[in-house]
Amino acid sequence: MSELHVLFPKAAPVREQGVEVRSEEPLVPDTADASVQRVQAWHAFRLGARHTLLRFRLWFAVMAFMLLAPVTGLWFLRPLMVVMALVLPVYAFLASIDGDGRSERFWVGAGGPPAMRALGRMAVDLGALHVGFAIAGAQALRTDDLSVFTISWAISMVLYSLGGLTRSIASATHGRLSAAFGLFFLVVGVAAMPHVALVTLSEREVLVFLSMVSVPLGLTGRLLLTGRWSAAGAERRWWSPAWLIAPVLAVLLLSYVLLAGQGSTLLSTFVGL
Amino acid sequence: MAAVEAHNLTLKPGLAEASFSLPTGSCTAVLGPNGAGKSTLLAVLAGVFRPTVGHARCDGPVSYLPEGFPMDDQLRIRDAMDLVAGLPGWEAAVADPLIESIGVSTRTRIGSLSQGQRVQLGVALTLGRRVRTYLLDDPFLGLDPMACVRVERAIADRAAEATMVIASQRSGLSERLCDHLLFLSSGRLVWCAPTESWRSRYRRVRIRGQLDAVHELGELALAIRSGGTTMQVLLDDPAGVAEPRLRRAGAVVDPVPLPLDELLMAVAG
Repeated sequence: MSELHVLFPKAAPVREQGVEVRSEEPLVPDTADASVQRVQAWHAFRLGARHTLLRFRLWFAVMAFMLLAPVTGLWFLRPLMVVMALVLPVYAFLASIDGDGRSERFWVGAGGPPAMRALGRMAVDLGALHVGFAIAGAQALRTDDLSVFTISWAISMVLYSLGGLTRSIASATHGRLSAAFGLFFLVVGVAAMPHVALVTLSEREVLVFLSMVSVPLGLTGRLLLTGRWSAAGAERRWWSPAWLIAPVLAVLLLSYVLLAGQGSTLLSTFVGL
Repeated sequence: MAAVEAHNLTLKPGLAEASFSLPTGSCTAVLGPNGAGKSTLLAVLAGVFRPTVGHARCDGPVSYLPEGFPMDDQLRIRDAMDLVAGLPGWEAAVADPLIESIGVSTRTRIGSLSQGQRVQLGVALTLGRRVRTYLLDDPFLGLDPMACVRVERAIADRAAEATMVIASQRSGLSERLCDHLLFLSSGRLVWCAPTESWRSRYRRVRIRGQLDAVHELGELALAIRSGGTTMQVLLDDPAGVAEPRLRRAGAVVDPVPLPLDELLMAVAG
C-alpha cells in the first residue's frame, strides 16, 4: 500500500526576478503601431453611449414611434403621451442604476477613462429622456397637462441624478454610506428649504428647483466616483437595497412636497442669494 | 524590460505585499488554491481595483478577461462584438472563428449562454483586440475538451506576439502554455520564476534497491511515497546534489515525470 509522507509542506519562499527564457525575441507590437493604440477618451465616451443605446434600444424604438404622433394624428397616440410622461421617470430610474460592478470589470480592463464612459452613458440617457419629454411636452402645451409634464420631468431628473450617484457611492464605499447620503441630502437639505426662505415659490417651481440642485450635484458626483470601486463594492448588484434608498426617498419627499404645498407657499433663500 | 511590474502590492483582504516583474513577451501562469488571490491580482493589474498599498504597472494597451466573463445578460453576442470592435486594435479574423465555434447565433442573448459558452465568448472578445498585454482570468472555466483546445490555440497564437498573464486552476494547460509561473497562497506571493527554474529545482525520482538511502537526503526530500520495493521522492534540490548522494548510498535512481499540480499540492500543503 502506498503511503504519502509530506515532510516539508511549506517550502521556503523564493522570489526570483523574471528572466527571459524564450529562445526567440518576442514579437510584441510597438505602441507606435496604429493597430495597438490605447483606448482614448473619445473611444470610452463612444463605448458608453453605444452601450446604452444597445441596452435600451427597445425603449428608443418606442420613442421614435412617438415622434410620428404629430404626423399621423392617430387617435391612440394622445393617451400614449400621458402614459409616456408617467413611464419616463421609471426609465430614468432604471437607467440610473443600470449595470453592476461585475459587468463593468471587462470594460474597465479594456482601458480608457471610466469617467468618459460614464459621460457617454449619461449623454445618451439624458438625451433620450429629453427627447421623450420634448415629445410629451409638445402635446402637453396644447392641453392642460403642463403640470403633469413638469412633475414628471422633475421627478425623472431627481431620480436619474440621485439614483446614479447613490449607485456610485455604494460601489465605492461598500454601500454603507448610501443610506447616510440619501437621508442627509433629501431630508436635511431639502426639508430645510422652507424654513430659511425669502422668496415665494409655487410647488411646481419647487420641483424644478429641486431638480436643478440635484442634477448637477448628482451627475458631477457620479462622474467623480466612477472607477473608484472597492473590491467588495464592485461585487454588489444594482438591486442592492442601499442603492435604492435615495431614489425612493426622493420620490416620497417630492410627493410630500407636492401634496403639502397645495394652496400654500414655500420660501427659499436660494433665489434671493 | 519588464512588461508587468508590481511593488508591494496589497489589497485587503485578498492580496498582501506582492512584488514581482514579468518580462516583455513572457507567458505567465498565475496558480494557487481557491481564495489565493489570483483574480484579485489580475483585477488590480487591469486597473479594476486600486491597491490599498503599493502599485502595479502593465505595458499597455491591456485587454482583460474577468473570471466568468460577467457581461450584461441582456446584450446579444453581436452587440458585445460591436462594442469591442469600436475599440482600437480589433481583429475580427482572430475573434470570429472562436465565436463561430460556440455554435449559437450572434443574435443570442449573453444571459442564455452556458458558462463555457460565455467564457469562450469572453476569450474571443479579449483576444480579438491586438494589444501588448493580455490578462486572462480563468479562460478555461467550464470549457469542454474541444473548446479547451481551441482556446489554448488562440492563446498560444496571441502569446507569440504579446505578454500574457493567465490565472487558471488547470495547471496542465498552464504548464503547456506558459514559460513563467507565479504561485500565490493565502494572498501572498510564494514564487514568481521561469518554468525552467521550477523544473530544475523540483524533481521526482524513483528509488530502487537500497531504500534507506533516502535518509541521506535530509531536507532535500519534500515528500516521500513508499510502495513496497520502490519509493518515490519529490526533491527540492536547486543545486542538483540529491541524485548523486542517493547513488553513492547504493540506490538505483530513475527520474519520474512530475505534473505541476502534484508539485503545487506538495509545496502548498
